Amino acid sequence: MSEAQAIVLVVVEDEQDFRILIRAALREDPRLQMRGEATEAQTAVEVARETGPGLIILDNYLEGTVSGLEAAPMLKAAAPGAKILLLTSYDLAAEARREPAIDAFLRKDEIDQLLPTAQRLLGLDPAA
Amino acid sequence: MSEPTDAAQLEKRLERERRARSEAEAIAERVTGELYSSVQELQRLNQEVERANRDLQAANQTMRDFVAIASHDLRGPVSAILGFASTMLRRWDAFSAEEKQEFIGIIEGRARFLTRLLDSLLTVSRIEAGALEVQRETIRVAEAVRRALVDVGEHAGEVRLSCPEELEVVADPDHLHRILVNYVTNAFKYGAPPVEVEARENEGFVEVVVRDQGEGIPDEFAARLFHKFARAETAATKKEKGTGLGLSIARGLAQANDGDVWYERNLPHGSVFAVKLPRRAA
Repeated sequence: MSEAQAIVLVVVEDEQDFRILIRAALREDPRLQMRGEATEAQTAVEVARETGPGLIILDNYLEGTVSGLEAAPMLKAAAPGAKILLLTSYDLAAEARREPAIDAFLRKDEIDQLLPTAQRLLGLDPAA
Repeated sequence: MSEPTDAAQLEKRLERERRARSEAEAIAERVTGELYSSVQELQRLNQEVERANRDLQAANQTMRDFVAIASHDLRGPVSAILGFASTMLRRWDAFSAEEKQEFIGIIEGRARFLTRLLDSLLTVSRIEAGALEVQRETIRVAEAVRRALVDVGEHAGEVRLSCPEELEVVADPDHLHRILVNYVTNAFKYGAPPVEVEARENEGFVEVVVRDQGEGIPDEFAARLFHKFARAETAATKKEKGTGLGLSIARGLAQANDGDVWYERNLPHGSVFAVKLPRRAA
């Protein structure tokens, strides 16, 4: 997989354990390249602007006063080409559906669905 | 047979009326007595219903708190445990031995946190139900502080002590131990060194205060500090995950031992957490 073909990923998550888990769950697909991490919204927007990610994995409970749901439109504006996947401990499916900037929602206890969901969002062939 | 006179008839009628009145009064007295007993019984039952209602409201509040905690503090660790376990199970060979050790370490840490949380919830429910067992003994405070520092672990040697050996309290030793360990552990987790522990006598009580030099507690949060599930939003609390029950348990334990707890600012920097317990009379 060349650098040019890689799809950049940014993870916005306040807990280090979950950042490690997300990396572990997505490592199977070498097309996905983790390039940036942030624990709160403002840094996440800057990282998104700098890296131009194809996918942003976003927690709802973040450090600081801005939640993931609130940060989603700012992230979309900073990286218009990025798909945003809201990954939270709580069932925020309805809230995620109401927010146009969010493209998919998963609960953290469905982590085994993270890779297939990411591949589907990015139009990647899982078998490739 | 002679006809009864009007006077005799009147007397008979009066006698019947007196008897009837007397019987009526007896019945009225009996009914009044029964009614009085019934009213008393009704009042007693009403008090029981009110008490049961209060208990039910308290139980409802506890249940609401538990649901709130379940959705916040239980869900995160459970998701992490499940996530790491399932990721390793599905792709065991994809991870190095070091990575697997790291993942299992995270699982262990999260599981230990859950165990602490459940233990704390149990203690809180005992305190709130008034079902906490208190086994009072005479305790030498300086010794209790030294024993608590053993459980504090790596920072124990950094604590400055000022505890006169002769000061003694009457309290449950386990309860005092838990309060002291909580205070000193918090001082290092959420405060900053130097940490000092001082014991002093004050009006029939012994006060033990733990001071740190950290960022202190925001004023708007100080009033809720000893409430269940209260956690200040500070840089230190974001870094260190806690159950939000430690200080509420400390207060419950102190009060069950006829004492109390409080917080003061440690000017110019940091916090002072204090507990007072009844001094053993000389």
